[in-house]
Amino acid sequence: MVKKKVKVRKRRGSGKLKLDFISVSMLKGLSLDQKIAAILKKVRENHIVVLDESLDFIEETKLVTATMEKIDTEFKGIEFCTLPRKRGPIQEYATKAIESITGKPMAKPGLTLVGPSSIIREIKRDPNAFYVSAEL
Amino acid sequence: MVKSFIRALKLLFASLFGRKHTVTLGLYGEPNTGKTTLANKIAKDWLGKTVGTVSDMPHETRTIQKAEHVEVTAGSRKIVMNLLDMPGLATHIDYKKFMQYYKTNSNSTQTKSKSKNKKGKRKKYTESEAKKIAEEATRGVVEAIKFLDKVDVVLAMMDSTRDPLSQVNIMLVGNLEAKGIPVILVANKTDLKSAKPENIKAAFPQHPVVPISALKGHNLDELYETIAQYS
Repeated sequence: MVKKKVKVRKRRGSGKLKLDFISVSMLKGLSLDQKIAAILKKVRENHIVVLDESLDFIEETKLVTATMEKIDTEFKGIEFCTLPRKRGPIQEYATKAIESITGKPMAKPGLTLVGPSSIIREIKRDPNAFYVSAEL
Repeated sequence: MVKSFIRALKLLFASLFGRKHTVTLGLYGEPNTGKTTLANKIAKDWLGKTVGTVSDMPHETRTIQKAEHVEVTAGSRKIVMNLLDMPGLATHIDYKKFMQYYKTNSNSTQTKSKSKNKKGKRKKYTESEAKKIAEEATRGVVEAIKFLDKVDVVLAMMDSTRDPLSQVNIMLVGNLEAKGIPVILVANKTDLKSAKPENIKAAFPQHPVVPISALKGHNLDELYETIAQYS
């Protein structure tokens, strides 16, 4: 009896989803450019980055312009979403007072997710949540 | 806050001394929301000429297109504005997507090849052309964002058939609020059956929302009157 040889195809690539959860303390002390560069470096390595702070609008526009400058045939850009946590009036006032004394912006409470657009297919959101579809 | 105070002072002086105040009006929004369609409609109606090329391809507008000294009558008021049609804002641009579209006669595409082949059939963009378009589009996004500091009033164009709560829209409106620049949300494409301008109002209740159809020219009078209130 002749036995047939069956070829078994090995799976290509790792197929792993890389999620980086980064705390505020890790990015503390970095300038705006350094902070955005650190986030984009990870995203260009196909990681999805989750920050435990909400980027403010200046940081978001810096993220978008820095992304545009990095787009090439390999890197198509990002998808990102922020979910700020609203502060009470007393907390808001105290934060502004500390920022005006120290001259340094404080981290905004909330969540930010940034990932490569090649992996993140869709982000749906409402004012209190966001829902991410990702595919490797 | 300082910038918005200076802006208010300029408006006060202009009204006191009777000088016509020229408003720099920026049209911002995601790609394919109808910015160039609206700019062309306004410029054609009041200047007799168009501003840019319209197509289904996203990022058709890749540089800032200007229509200067457009005098518009809004009710009893006359507004003089410099209209700036901005490139669409995006967070990702894939050159391969442009290869699905047929060429237009856009001047911003600096290609020597003609849009039609010898048989008169329209040609699609080649890979090298698509890469060039992507490069221009990324520069256009950066330019549009940098110009946010130079506009007096912004029309944030939104497609009424799409979910308004995209990060680009949130970022745009948030930026304008932080800079103290008046923003009017334009709920475009109300001529389509799936249009839901009420979704835009619900998403951004703190700003005026004007539903229009730039393509059909519906409700532009209300848009002009709203611009006059904020200029």
